[in-house]
Amino acid sequence: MTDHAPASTSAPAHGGHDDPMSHVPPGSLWPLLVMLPLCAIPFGVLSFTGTLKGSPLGPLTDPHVGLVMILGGTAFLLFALMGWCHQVIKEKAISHDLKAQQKDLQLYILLFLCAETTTFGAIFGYFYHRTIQDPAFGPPHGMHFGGPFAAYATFLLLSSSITCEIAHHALDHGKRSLSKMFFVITLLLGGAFLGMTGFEWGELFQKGFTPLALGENGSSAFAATFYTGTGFHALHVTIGLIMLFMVLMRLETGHFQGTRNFSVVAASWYWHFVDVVWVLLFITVYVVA
Amino acid sequence: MSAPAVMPPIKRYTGVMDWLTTVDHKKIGLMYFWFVLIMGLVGGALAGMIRIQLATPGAVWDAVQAAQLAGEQLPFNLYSEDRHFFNQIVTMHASVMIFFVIIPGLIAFANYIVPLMIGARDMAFPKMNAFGFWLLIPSAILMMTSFWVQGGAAATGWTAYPPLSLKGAGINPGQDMWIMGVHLAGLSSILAAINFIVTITNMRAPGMGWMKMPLFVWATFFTSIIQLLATPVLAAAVTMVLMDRNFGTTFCDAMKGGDPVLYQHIFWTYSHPAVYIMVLPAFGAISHIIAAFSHKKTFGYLGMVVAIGSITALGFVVWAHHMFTVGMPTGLQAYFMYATLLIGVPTGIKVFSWIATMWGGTLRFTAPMLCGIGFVSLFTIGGFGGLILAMVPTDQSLHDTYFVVGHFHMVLVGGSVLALFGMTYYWWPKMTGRMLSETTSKWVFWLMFWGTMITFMTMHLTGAAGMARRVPVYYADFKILNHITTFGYALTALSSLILFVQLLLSYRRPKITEDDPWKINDVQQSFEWATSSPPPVYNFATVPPIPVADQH
Repeated sequence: MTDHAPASTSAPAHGGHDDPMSHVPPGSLWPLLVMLPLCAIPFGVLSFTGTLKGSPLGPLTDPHVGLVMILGGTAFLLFALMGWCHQVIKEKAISHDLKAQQKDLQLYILLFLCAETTTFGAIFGYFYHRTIQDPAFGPPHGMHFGGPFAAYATFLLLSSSITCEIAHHALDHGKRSLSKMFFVITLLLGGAFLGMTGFEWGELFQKGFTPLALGENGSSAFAATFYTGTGFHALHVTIGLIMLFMVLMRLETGHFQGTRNFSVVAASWYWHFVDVVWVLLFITVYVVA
Repeated sequence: MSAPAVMPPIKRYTGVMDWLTTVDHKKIGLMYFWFVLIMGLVGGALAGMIRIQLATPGAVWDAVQAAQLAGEQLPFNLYSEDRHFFNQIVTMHASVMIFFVIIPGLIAFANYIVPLMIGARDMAFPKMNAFGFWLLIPSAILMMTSFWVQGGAAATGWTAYPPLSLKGAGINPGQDMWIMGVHLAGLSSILAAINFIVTITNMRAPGMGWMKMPLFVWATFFTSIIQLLATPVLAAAVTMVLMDRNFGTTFCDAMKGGDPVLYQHIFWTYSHPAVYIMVLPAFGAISHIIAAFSHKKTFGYLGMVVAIGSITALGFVVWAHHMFTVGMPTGLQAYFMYATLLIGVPTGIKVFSWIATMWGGTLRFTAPMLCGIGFVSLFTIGGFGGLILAMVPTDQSLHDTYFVVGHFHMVLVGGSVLALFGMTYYWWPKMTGRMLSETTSKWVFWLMFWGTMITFMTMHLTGAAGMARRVPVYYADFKILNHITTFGYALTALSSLILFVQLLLSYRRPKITEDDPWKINDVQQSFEWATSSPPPVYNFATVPPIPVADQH
């Protein structure tokens, strides 16, 4: 979902001897097709959870229909997203305004990360406001987390940022096999980090510290913030891993020759962003709390 | 530049498929526009239902209940369910008008006009642009169908304050549907914002430096920055409510250690900047309209740009003036009061610049110009109401009364909506190649102007007299004022209907041939009048010449 540049939409050509229609990108049904499951899935969830029973919404009152809508919608969403990416990659292959496009896309991913920052900002804002205002806002009694375990996880994620940068650098210098190797290492490190987060969650769940309400004071709001913060970050790690995996697959099929490597830039920037957010999150939930 | 050697033929769609697959910013702009017109009628109808209920103190329900007690069957028993329905209508009127009318309405024009103004062939990410539009449809479907689910639509006001929006007794999936609708509309906003920023930064025609950009482009640029940075915060706030409702977290539930006031802070961190999302593009467009029909360049271009920029920046740091009654420390209240009053300075700069642009100009009172002058007048009046509300002591007595309702409707209807009317009349010839009847347009303007004035000035008085907002019944003392308000509403509704029909019928009018039907290009800084009406799909065959107004 990052690179959607079509063929040549930048500033008009100088001179004007060529056919202006050749600069008009072809139409695309994919945006509409991606929208359809985004309509179906919410209704599927509502129907599946049985909240639509008794409403005059016809077949939607049957939870089975809801399940079909969720599963079918998700499958269709993945299909449509892949179709969209496929069309973009195909169009880029014949594009003749590559330099302008790269500039556009780089700004795009930067702005996207700004929007992400403010989302995390809301979570951090909630955390610090509560910490300052409410002395009861803190880990519930007996909820132990962090320690050396979290430090190891942090170390893994930080080193994955470095290996990612090495892989990117190697690709820029044409060393494709070295680049592939370091992308694989990055993926493994990221995967290990994700596993450790999952392990820590599992341990806490076993001790009864589920994300559900934990009593009647600030500690339950703390648990909500803890799980939302780390969970939202884990979601971003997953997305970053998917991006890196796609980059690896495209490297394998021989893409990214010459300067056509925006996806690599996007994936690595995203990965660094995830890393920086983790450092802040680590300081927030493990050190401050 | 020559075409590349191997260029496979591009597949082109026609007819309906052309609209469904389009990535052309002009077609997408028109789709946004018609979506907004239709949702505007829906939102207007919801407002009508509010006004019917409020036309008389006890109104419809008392009649319905009396009839039910007497065992009579009523042909029209819309309100017989319970008074909960009134809250649903109020909430959905606000949500529809904000998320599906004013914000996308301004995006519709930005979509159509901004690439033309900067001499680009399309937006930077045309497919993303189409996706941004399509996202509004599931969002609208989610919100509108929620009327038919158990418990009805969201009934908490568009602010969705907890604990009201948390799960109380009984299920009301309408609130969850509202939240998911907000998520989708927010995603649409963010994608549009990124697209505008990239387009404006990278795709201006050669020779158009930052300080030569038309003011509408500047306004869109700053609006996009607000959308980009503020919308995710709204998403975070409503997600907290969604999780509290469905996954057992306790972010906002004071009973279980959550903090409902903090929700308000996070919500208004988005929603106050969002106020400027709803008016900054209008500022930009009005500058063009007033300059065009005064036949002068905009007075104080630099001042206008700086003013928009400072409104953007200040907009982020004044949110808590919506919350003077929640019990903030006095120091904070004083800060938010002074910061809010400070916004009056750049806004004043803009108003004086518009007046100075008209001063000594050759004025032509066409329909768009009337809307422009109407905008300046009504927005200024609404803005004064804002100054009154910005002061802590007056706000504490006027909070949650009709004074507040009157204030924000005066700036949104008298400001944004009237500006949307003006933009429609100004750019319709460019967008469709058809002129609109000046007589009809002026009728629409005057009905809207007086309708707004009567409806919302009266609301100020009702509020100052002490009538609370969001109530379906009221003391008989407010009867006359509410009669007048409902009469004013009828005028605005009539005006909007005439506009809708007028635009529909305009497709049967003869096509114009001029690029510049208003004969204004010599004072405009923008490129949109340098191409045919409507523009070809590629906008410009060659780089457009630097606009005349910039050559000296």
